[in-house]
Amino acid sequence: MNKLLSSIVGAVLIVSPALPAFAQTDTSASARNFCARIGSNLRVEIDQRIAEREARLKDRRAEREVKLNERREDRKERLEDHRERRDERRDEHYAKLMERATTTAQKAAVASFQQAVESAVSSRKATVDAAHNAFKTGLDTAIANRKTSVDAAIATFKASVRAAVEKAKADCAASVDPVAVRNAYRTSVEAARTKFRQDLVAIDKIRATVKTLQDTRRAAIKKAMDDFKVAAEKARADLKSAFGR
Amino acid sequence: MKEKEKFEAVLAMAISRMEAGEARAEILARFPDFQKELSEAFRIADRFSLLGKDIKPERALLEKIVQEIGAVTPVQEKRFSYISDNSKGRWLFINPFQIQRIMNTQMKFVLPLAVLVILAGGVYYFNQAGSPEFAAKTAEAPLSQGMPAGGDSSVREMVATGEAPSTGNPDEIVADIIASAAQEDAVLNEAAADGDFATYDSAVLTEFGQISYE
Repeated sequence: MNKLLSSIVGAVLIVSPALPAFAQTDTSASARNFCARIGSNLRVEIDQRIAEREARLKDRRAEREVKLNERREDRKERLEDHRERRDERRDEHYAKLMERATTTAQKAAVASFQQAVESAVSSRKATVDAAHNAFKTGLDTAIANRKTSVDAAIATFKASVRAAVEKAKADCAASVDPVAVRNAYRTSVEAARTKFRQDLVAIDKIRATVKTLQDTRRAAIKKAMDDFKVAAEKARADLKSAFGR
Repeated sequence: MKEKEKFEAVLAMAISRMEAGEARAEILARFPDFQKELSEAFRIADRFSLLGKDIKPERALLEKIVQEIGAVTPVQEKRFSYISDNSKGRWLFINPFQIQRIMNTQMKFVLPLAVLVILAGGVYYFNQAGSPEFAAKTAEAPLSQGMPAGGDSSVREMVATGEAPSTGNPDEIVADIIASAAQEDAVLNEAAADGDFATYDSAVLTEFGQISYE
């Protein structure tokens, strides 16, 4: 048993000086292969991969535009339809009130009520439409700005990757140590990736912009509604006092 | 009135309005203090109405019921034995023969007669509703009760669109006008979700950093 153990230890000791050489051979083969690849089709492959992502990004943007427009159109139609119906409905209310008014004073009160309500409706409509349009324009601008920033970040990233490829190609051609060439290439690509991620984080601040737009819009619509309620309640109180209630 | 009682009263009113065909948004706008509770109630009602389609009793329960009733025999050949009057099962309060007899004899006359009476009544009512006399009678009712004289084209239009005609009551009119503004806000507020489209391309963008460059 002792003999067997000492034989194994002995064999390991004899072979161990050669181990780094094996490893070096493997690394060098892989690095040489890298130089061969970078000299032939790696540049084309990388360009192709980036182009595929760019095409998908373009599709996604087009899809966004279509969906956003559809939603806006649908809302616009529903809103117009609703407003039209409500205008008719209010006319019906005024007619009914006028029908109930028996004295001149009551008829005048109904006319005043109508005027007050219509004024409140117009005022509210103008305010909410303005808030709505400001939000729409703000969102469109934010999206356009994001597009510009994203395109710039992609262009920078692409340029950095291409520069790294060209540098690696040149180094390989100049017979620089292939391991060093590959390591330098990897470092450059990683730096480009990091920069791209940082750019995206900065671009993603659009969320804060959108949130501000949403909050501003919500506050304006709420205020318009509150003002409208106050005006409508006042009109009601005035009308009721004219009708002696 | 306690809060719970108040809500129960509001819920009862909301249900009756819903049954009358009033839109949910309008109902919610009518009761601004209970919007949250009513929305929850509507949501639960929807959930149950959807779930109800898939509710099936357990097989074991069904078998137990069938056994306890005793009217259904597990022996397939004997299931229709009452037809040959040799049923050994328990008799129901009204047995199938009695039901059959009623349907074949009395109901043959009674049912068509009842339908005829209902139809005649309906035709008479609708004819009268359009007449000036009927209009005069209904016009005497207080306006705050709501329904104006029949035959009014605006009323027909409102009924057709599922909206109750104007009552001429200032409180109800203002409530209706405020409710309509709230409905409009609901449509407008959908625009807030458009903001999500700003980052619609995020997933594709992160892919750039994940490409293999070797």
